[in-house]
Amino acid sequence: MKTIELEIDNKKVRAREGMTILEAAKQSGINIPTLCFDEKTDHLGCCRICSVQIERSGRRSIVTDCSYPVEKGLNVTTRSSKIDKIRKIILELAAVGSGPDVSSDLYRLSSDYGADLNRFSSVGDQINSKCILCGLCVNRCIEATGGAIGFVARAGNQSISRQN
Amino acid sequence: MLSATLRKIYEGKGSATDLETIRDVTEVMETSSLCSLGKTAINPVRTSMKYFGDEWDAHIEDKACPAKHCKPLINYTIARATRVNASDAEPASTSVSSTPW
Repeated sequence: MKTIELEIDNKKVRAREGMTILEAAKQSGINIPTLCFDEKTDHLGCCRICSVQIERSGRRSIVTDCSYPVEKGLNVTTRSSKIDKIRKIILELAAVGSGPDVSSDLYRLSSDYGADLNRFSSVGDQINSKCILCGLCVNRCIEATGGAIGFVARAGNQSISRQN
Repeated sequence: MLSATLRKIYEGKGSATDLETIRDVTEVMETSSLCSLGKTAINPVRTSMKYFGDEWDAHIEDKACPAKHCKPLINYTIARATRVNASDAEPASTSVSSTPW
């Protein structure tokens, strides 16, 4: 297996080809928050909380590291004021769908990033479901049964339902 | 989320914090969306805020729509009817003026 060298938070990291940035970071002791990540399931980067900034030949972009494979010479930044702001707003938006009684993971992360989980509570209807529509259950189901449940509708009306 | 906030402003119920919300959400969408649909969907909102900022302020502060487009912010009033007595009304001119040339 080919070994790839990249930089995560100015730290040289060696990773196997095909690994994701998240796996490479974990291997070298760099902690990146995740919500929809599950080792046994394919990652689509739905919750977007693991967003990091990558820089490759002078070009910067924001990607989800749970789904982005490592590349040679990649320069990854996992914490900066820009990333923290993105994660803060993603958490605040996730809390809109989950209702007032949020999950413990969301609550813990909100204190880490200074997110106000009630910021958008006045906009739209809130259903106390604790669900942030990360799609992990849908993914798992597709892998196990071929897809008995799936996303229904879009934006504010989106929910997870049984497929007909 | 974004459309609900825009509707609030459209109906004249917006506040300065709503503008802040729109700025924050559009910034995150622009930088961290997976595909170009998300990255560019906010363009009409971002560009109108950039070039027509005074109109946004009018919606928030004065609850008015300078472009007269937002229906909830337009008030119609019926002009007071003035009674005209038919006999007092000036008769329509019947004389045909001669041509000036």
